[in-house]
Amino acid sequence: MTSILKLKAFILLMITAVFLAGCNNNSSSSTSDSKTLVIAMSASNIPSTDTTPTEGYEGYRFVGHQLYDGLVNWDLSKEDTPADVTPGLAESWEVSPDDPTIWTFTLRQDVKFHDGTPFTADDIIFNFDRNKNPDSEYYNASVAGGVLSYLKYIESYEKIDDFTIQIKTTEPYSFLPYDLTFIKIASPKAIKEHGEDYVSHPIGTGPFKFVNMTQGQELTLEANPSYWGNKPKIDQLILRPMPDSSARLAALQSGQVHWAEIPPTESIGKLKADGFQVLLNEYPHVWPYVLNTKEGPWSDERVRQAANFSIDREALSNSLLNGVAKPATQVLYPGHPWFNEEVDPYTYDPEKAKELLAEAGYPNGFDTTFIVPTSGSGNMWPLPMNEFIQKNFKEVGINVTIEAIEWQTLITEYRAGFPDDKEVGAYNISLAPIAPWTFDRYFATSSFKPNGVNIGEYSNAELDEWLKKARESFDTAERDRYLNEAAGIVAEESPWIYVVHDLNLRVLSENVEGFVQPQSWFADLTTISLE
Amino acid sequence: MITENTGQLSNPVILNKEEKEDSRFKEFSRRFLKNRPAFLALILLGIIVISTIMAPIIAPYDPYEGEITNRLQVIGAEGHILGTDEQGRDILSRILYGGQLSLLAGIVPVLIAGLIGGSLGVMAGYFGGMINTIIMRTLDIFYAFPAILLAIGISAALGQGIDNIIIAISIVFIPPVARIAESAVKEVREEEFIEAARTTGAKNFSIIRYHILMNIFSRVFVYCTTQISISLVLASGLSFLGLGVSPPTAEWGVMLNNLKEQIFINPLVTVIPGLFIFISALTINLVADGFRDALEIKQ
Repeated sequence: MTSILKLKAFILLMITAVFLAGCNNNSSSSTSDSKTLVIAMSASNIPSTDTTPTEGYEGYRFVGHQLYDGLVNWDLSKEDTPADVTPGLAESWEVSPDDPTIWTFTLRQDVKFHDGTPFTADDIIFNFDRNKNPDSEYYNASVAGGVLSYLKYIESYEKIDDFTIQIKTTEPYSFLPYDLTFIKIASPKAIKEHGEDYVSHPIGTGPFKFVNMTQGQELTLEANPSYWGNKPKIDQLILRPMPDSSARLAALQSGQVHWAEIPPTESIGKLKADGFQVLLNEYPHVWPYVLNTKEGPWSDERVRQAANFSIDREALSNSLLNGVAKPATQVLYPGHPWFNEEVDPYTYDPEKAKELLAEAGYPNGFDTTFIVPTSGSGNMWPLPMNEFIQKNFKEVGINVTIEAIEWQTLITEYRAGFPDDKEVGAYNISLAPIAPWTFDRYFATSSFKPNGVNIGEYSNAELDEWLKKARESFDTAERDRYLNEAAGIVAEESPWIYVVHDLNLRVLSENVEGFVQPQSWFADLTTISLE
Repeated sequence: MITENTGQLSNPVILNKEEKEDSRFKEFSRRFLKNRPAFLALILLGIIVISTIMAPIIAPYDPYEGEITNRLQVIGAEGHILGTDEQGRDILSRILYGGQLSLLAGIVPVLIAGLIGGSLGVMAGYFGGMINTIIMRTLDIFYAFPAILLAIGISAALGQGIDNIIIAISIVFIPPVARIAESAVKEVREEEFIEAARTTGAKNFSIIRYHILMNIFSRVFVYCTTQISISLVLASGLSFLGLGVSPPTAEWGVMLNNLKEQIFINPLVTVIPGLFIFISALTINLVADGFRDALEIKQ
């Protein structure tokens, strides 16, 4: 009869556990007594506080762009157009009229690092050396690894005077300012002083200063009262990694956070009814499969097109995702200057997909493996989305094995390219067509690793020609025309399978005021106030 | 039990073998049936096991086909008794199919661990000395790690897949089974009938086969049955963490993980896979307890 006793004890234990869990939820009320903004990130860990954050663009969004400035920053003040660049630590720049490879940047004179040291041209040179010059004493390979592709067109850089620097590019390259937004400038004094331990004492010039960090749990930043730009209106910023979307929702509803990135879409109605601010906006985002075009079935253009014809994007966006995404048939969306109107869009047409597969020599389909993330920056709800698409593919005969791995691991594997020792057909990784270098970075022959992230090793001479013209064009309208041609080619030949564009679902509690949801991956946190 | 048993075995001429087996089984059944919770648990467990085995016949829908427009139906929705999941698939059908893998992952590791751990334990216990030291101290290394961590570590190293989960849990269970077997053998080894067998010139192998195994079997068997529920929960846990089957395969742990997104929106549907893990583990435990009481083993 001991079993009955055991059973009773067990049931009692369960009830107690449920009761305690309930208590916990009720008692942990809002943290908003001081002006502290708490954000639930979708990352599974805290992004590195070094000048090259981990966790993809979410790392830049909440840590990199908050702690540091680049020579050039992003203008995140507009809701109605895709974000563009704006002066950062450089107040202006110009390209030499005689030699378009020479850029002169005039620096701000009123900037101080968080540790009080004044900012000068030497600091730029120091940081460039740290990222670009392996012979320099403070060169850091792991930091440099994250920005390698943003530095590939820079040939040399030099200090002209204390507040002027000159950069020479390897060829005429009009996209340089966009690259420089990712080269963050840290205090040389702090790097020299702390060495390996710098990440625990990061010093930049950005709107927020580092306070402390509990690994895996939270990162606390505070307002930088002597920031040169718009000063933050809040006192503190706490960032919490929560890779699980229902955990983010729970934290938001119980008042533990004021801001949740992408909660479950089914909760939107209830959140709106409860007075939360549900924000959506178009932004240059695409959720694709980056295909292995070098070898295997995906090297055949018809197979890639067949896959594009086999996805029911409408059902995916509207039914599975409740309208927080829009179907993607190209890298960008209709209305964007780099969306090519002339290419026929990919529709949901399984019959056509089967025909194309048969033409390509796969009348019975084939097996392939996709590596997908479990969460993370811009990846939305990767597992249910992948499972949905897996079923679409199965209908036309493409049998996909889904291999789900953690986001930062996936970034590392993706940067290393497709593995040689096993068959991988695609990486599912959300990418950011935010700057004119988009097509250059992802599709140019010159961007094969290690010089870029064209990891599928797609190559097209005509595309390379258009991209060269775009790089050499310093006129925006002309440049966009060339990029539009490039967009047409990659839509037609589809080195990626285009799936959806995210609408940047983000939910803020009622008392968060003044936030502008920009058409960008990044966010300006200085305009926010808490009521 | 042990003394009773040895008594019987040391006087093998008194009863003929069949009669003896028969009466032992009768006694066991009588005791087990008297233990009502265990008996009811056995019936419930039987229903669960048989339904999952018969899933292809009784499942109302294909577990891998669903209408996306019909997703996240509540419990009791028309045509879907347990509702539908995030892809619009019938949850009842997925539970039935998923149970095959989940229950398999509960039983197979215990069988493997019982065989390997049992043999190692018997060898260590019977031969003693150096062999005992080598086997038992090697297995002790595994005790240095908490079981769940060890299982996570092994299956993470082996990679995703239910087969790797089974291997990982088997490895975790080998040392405790070996320990039980070893201590049981040590007790039996000193008995007079073993001595007697030895003096009549019986080989080690036949002594183990006829005398040792017969006497330790019930103890090892009961211990193993209590481990099935732990194995089931462990396997579901690893699967929940994403180390198990890859989508779209149905398995209770994975289903729980997929549905957890809906916990605040449709909590009842979310807990269904968890409820099945819970009920299965509980009934297995009660049945194992019943076996133990019926066999009068004190642990």
